[in-house]
Amino acid sequence: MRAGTQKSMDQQLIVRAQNGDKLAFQLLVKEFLPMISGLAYRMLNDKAEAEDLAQEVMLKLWQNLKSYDSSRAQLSTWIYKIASNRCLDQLRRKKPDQLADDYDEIVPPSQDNELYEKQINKKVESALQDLPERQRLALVLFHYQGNSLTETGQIMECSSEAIESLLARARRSLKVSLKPIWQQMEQEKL
Amino acid sequence: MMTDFASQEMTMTVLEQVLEVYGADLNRMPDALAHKVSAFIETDDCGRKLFNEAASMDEVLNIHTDLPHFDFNALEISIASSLQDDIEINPRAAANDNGWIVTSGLLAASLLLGLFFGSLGAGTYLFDGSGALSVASASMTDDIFYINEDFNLVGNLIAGIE
Repeated sequence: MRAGTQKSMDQQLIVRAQNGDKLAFQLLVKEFLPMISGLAYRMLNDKAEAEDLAQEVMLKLWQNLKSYDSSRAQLSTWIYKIASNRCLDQLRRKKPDQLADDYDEIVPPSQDNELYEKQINKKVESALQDLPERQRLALVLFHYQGNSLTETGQIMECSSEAIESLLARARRSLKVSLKPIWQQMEQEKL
Repeated sequence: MMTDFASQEMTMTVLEQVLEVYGADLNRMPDALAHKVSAFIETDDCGRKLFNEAASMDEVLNIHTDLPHFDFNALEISIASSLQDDIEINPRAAANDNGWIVTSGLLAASLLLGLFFGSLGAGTYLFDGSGALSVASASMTDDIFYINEDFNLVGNLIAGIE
């Protein structure tokens, strides 16, 4: 959760940017670009696509900034909403075979720790990609991007209960698909 | 409204539901719920096992936390440059807006003029009596003397107005 002073500074920047101040907008870009890039990368699993999408979202934000009403939603929620919708659009355009990944045998950590982590990362990415889009989006927004249940609900335009349901289904699926990995981690702890 | 897990009696079923939503990170749970979960897993072995499984699962998910290196400076420059292009686009858009106003004004003026001449009965001078438009007939025959001698439209029109 971002601090109140930061929100107040954002508010000033928004008002200036809404009046056409490009420098103020550049400061907003600096603040929100990492957030959008992170979301886009976790949703699309492609760095170049994530960069393009983040840039596109920021330009869309500039074009539509005048329609932003701070009494209705936080700027971060509004930006997340634009970015989430763009991610979902892009995913729907992608062919399923572009998302597929192979499931090789994992090298045990004792042999090569760096390779082990890379392989697990790849498996997690793959398991996330196999989730239905909205479950993945809910998990990325809540677990990775650190939004609350209420914020995630506002971004995805659904109730907190619906978000709980999406998160539960996502974690249930991941628990099954990543079982060999988390069980291995369990055994290492013993 | 969020499910109020904290007001429910903590059982294995409720704990499982809580862990499916929040994972094993107590900091992400509402305070009252986090206390209830902590108390439950301290006393219940099965609950602790379930919680540890969720913690291992979170650990696996968090391996994916690292993002690739993004060149944010380059992205910011690219966005700034697109904003500069926008400055060049806006004056054109403004000019187009003015163009619409001028065009609409001219169209309205020509409509009013037409209504004015129509109200003076000038329409009768535009036709040759057969119902065919004289101008169309002139363009068909391409005979300039024919128009000048027999259908002096402009002269007739002015005379009609006078």
